[in-house]
Amino acid sequence: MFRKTIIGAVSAWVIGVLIVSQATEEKETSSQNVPEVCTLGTLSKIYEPVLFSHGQHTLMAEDCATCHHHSEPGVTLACKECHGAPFDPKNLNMPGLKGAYHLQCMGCHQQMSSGPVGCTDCHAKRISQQTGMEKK
Amino acid sequence: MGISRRKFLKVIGVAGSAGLVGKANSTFGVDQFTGSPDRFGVLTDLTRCVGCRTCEAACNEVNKLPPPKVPFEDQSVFEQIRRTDVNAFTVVNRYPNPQPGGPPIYVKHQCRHCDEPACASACLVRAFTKTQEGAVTYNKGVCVGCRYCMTACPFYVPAYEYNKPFSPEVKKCTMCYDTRVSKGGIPACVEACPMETMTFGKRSDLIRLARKRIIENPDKYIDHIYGEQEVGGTSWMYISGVPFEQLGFPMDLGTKPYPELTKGFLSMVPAVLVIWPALLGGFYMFTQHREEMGVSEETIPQEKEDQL
Repeated sequence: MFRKTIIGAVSAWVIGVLIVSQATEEKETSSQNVPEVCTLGTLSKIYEPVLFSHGQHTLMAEDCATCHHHSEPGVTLACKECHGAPFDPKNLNMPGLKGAYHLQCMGCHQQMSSGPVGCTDCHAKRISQQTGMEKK
Repeated sequence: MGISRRKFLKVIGVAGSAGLVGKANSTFGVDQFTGSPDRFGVLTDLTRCVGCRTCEAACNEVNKLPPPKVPFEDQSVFEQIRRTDVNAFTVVNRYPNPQPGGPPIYVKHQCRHCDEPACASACLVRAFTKTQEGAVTYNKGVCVGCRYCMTACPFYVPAYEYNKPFSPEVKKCTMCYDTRVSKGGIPACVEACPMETMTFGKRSDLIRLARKRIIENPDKYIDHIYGEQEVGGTSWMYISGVPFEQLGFPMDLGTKPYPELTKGFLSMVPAVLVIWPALLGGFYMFTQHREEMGVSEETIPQEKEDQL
């Protein structure tokens, strides 16, 4: 009987935690999985991948569309869904993925005068083959 | 008979030369470069550059240049305005922002790949070529090392290998023509830039893009595309949020291409060298013949007088 009580209480606690954690998601995409940390590693020739604290930024931004811009309301796409290779002659004003990352992230950091703006502030340098770029 | 034969020939000779002058001017004086309409260009947006020097590092790598004395991460190089060098085809310079408290402006400097390059015009041996793709390339095989190109360039771009006495070359940005652009690629600096400060595309598209950015952000940009018309137009163009004269850009170049300043009279040189000897030689022959005739004419009246 005691065991059943314990199991019941633990289950109730677990279910309760799950319900509460779901309820505190006040964003439009509450039903989706909002990543806590994003590893931006597609373009990592010179630098290590970026460990981007997405969760921290969701708390700072009022709306997903602040960063996930130029899409339909309620639709949140990853950056690479729209930003691919740069300098498409049909759409020269649309930056490629690397440019989009830097312009969006650093643009906001510069505007708000807070947040990393230096190269190695976000990603450490790899020891690369390039002469002159190696860490001395 | 009103006019002597000598006078008539002289008049015809002068009129002919004058006519040739007029013809040369109209044939060789061009006002606007209309060749290769699909030529590429690069638009540099000076509101984006943060001075990271990744472009310099990429250029250094693809051109197999020696490692720099000061590493590319070092920001102390910005304390001086630098020129392009035999080992640095592009340099980034820092200028203070005229708006107090504003971030400094970084300007990437390199060959502008002019539509009508002064270097190509000044070169004695035609070592420079404006390619169809827009890049101005250098042929080290014909260069004689006179360095007229260095004197001619209004942007002080070409550098010379004074330290190599036996095989010196003129060094400048090639827009990565041989290794990339001629094969459908993009220049290394453009590809490397993390802020996409530079956009590569057809020059005509880039002018439209620049105008679009200026129109959509009138407070952000100065209403001028540097390089659109300066010295007849350049492939490498700039838009900026700060007046160009405060960023080290020469503002007194005008819109006339540099070759046009000399094309007029220089194009006449071959014509002059052929026609004037022929004409003057002709005059000489006539005067010689005339003198010979004159000698016999002088003696005849004397004889006639004797007869009379």
